[in-house]
Amino acid sequence: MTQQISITQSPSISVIQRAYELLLKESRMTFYNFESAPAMGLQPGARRGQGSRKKAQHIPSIGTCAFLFQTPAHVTLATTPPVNDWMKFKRLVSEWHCERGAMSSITEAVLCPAYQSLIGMGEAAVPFILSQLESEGTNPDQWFWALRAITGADPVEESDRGNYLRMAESWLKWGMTNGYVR
Amino acid sequence: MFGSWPQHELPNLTADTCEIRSDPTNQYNCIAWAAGENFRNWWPDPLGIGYWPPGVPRQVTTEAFMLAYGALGYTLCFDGALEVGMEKIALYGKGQPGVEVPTHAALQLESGEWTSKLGPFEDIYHATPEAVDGPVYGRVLCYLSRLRPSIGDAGPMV
Repeated sequence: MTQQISITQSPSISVIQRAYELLLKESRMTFYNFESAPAMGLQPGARRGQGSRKKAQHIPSIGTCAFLFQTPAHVTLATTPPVNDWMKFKRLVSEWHCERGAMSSITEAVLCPAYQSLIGMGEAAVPFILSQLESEGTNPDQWFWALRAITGADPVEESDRGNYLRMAESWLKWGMTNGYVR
Repeated sequence: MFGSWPQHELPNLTADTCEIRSDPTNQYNCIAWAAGENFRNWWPDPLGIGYWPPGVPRQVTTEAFMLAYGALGYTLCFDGALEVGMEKIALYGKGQPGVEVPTHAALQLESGEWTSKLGPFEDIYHATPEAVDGPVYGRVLCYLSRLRPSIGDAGPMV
């Protein structure tokens, strides 16, 4: 899977900047394909394994970062960085909260475009949803429809329907059993 | 900003027309709150995410909601006027007449004030049922009533 990086105007550019700095240092990132690598100080046509041995590229500032993303030689990564999925997930969470507003209907809330897009992320969203549930602590939100729709599982006891605290506990336990959560 | 809900969704709610009584929480919704519960969400969704009284059709219809509250002893009544010894629920909905979709429920307190849980946001006291009319909840479809439980009986957690 390849991905083209583009300029972002997101206010979280510093997060993306730091995330890519970490990614360039990680040995897991093993494949780069550059059309015009000199702009990045790397050799063109780098094959598997070579990228990981390259010295990490310093990204000194937001302006430079934007230039890096804007180079004529767009960087194509063989694997979609998980940080992009996470950023997309968080954006959809925020959008869903706005779209849902004060409605009480579970049915209407899950039909909101952002929630549907979140389901559309598929299995990639499962660890993010479980992480979100965990972070919400004693006030878990209604992520259970998405989890059921994506995984097909239903670890919730019948007697716990509607009790989001207990439902979150069941799903987090399911996540641990199935390797999504440590 | 007064309250954490989108103001444009509940335009009649101001500091003069309601009183905030809780923090925002996902633990219960308006349907549960009107039924006297504050630990789970009631909703007849097809996936079984929300709680729904056993034996009541899992349908988002006025009839199903009346049956759900009927399981707690509520029956249809004429209006929302305060009646001593009676506890009332106002059921709200949107849509074409005759095929409205339930959206919200409010519970009348002994004082005559009403209490509502605003989705994932706060629960409030409001003086009239019409205070929560608006784009998100629509309007009152009907009123239900039952004998107000005495102290010690199962009753509202307000």
